[in-house]
Amino acid sequence: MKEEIYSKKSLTDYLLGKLSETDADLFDEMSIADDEFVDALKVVEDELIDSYLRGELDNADVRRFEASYLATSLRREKVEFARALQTVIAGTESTRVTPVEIETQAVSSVTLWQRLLALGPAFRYGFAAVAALALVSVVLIVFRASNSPTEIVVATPTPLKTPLPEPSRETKPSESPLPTPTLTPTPERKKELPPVSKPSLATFILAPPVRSSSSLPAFSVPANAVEVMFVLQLESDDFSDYAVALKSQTGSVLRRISGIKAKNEALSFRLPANLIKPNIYTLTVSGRSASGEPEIIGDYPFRSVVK
Amino acid sequence: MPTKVYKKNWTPDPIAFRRLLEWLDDGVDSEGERYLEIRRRLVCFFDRKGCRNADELADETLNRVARRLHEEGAIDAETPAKFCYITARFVFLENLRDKEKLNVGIDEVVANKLVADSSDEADVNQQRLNCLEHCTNNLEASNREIIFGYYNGDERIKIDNRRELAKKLNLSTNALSIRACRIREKLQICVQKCLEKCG
Repeated sequence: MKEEIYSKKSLTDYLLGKLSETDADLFDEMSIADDEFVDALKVVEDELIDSYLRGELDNADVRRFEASYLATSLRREKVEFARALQTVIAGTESTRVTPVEIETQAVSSVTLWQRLLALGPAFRYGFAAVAALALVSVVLIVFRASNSPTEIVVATPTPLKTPLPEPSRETKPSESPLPTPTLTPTPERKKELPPVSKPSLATFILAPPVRSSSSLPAFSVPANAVEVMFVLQLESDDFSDYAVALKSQTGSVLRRISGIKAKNEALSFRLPANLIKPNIYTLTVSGRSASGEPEIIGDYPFRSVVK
Repeated sequence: MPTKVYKKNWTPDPIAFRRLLEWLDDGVDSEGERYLEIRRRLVCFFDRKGCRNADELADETLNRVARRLHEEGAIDAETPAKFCYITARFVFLENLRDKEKLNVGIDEVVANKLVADSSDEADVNQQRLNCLEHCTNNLEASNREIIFGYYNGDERIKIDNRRELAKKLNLSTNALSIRACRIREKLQICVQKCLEKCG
């Protein structure tokens, strides 16, 4: 073991071109001739790329990463692969349903219909009327949401790996009085993979900001929330991917996330709950154009309050 | 250390290539895996050095080593990998000198290529995602569990997930990191091949 020679930090510095020439020469040699070093370097390199994509690097390291690490097409390809991997993992986590669950869902829906059909015509017509009312409620809610200023749907804390919320999935007509913030429990789903810790996830939906709106949308982060899921509704989806910067009231960037793909004209991403204190914040959204140039789309200001 | 004048365009014949594989294996038959691993390391080395033709330089390095073996029958070195590094240093320095002569031309070519590439980027990204889904679906279930478990979540949640996964698999977190990293590397190679087929 040569752990006295290298550490996670020195390996990161090596990858970012921050080491002295002598140290870099030694690491160059070990990167070919030392199996343990090669393994350690690959792990740190993957971590570095992932940290960059999640916006976890400080500004100086972001600049170094972009100027030094991204200098060759091979490493840019590694970053693009990592971006795709994060997308696939996030997507899988949001949609994964175990075979057992699918079977249970199918059985339970058949049973429901069989039971309804077994009831008399009065019950069937009654059920049809309730369903029609529910449909009208959904249409009304969608209409009001698209015309009102920022709406926030605050989900009650749910297990971490529940499905990624889409606006339509989060809003239940029978439980969502508008325009006040609503509490909507998200159904639990069984997980096939991976082993799950049991932290909580709070979800907030922000509609496109309206210039004339004078009041900031406000919400509180539940005390036991570990992560906050933001869903930002877009007016249109014109870019291949998006970046979001969480800014403090003074404008300093607290966290940056890039490579977010829009789904149903909405961006979903997670932030650590401990990042959101009782204060005013802004989420600045930019899109990446075909030429690769970032273009600012808009700001989503909000206020976090004490619960 | 290679001292003879290097003959450009020399490539190993099947006998010379087999001798190189055996020498790199150092007594353990890896069925060519060691050669591929050393080649990957060389490519990464040249890439970190900012060489745009990293693949070419890695092949050039291994050709020189093969030639030395072919001509002298044996190489006296601490380890085969270390000798490859020494040879790679020479190749790098020579390339640096050549690059200085050609710098302007190369930059122009690269700039033109970047403009051309950007218009296709969205398509390539979509293809990459399709390939990745295909490759992850072809992973063994246990490897898929590791890749999805290991890389899921941010910060504290990620750490907790990894700790639980390591416990479940009865591995140290360090061993889990290396295993996840190797699966990721295989996935990336699979995606690269898939993209080449599509492209």
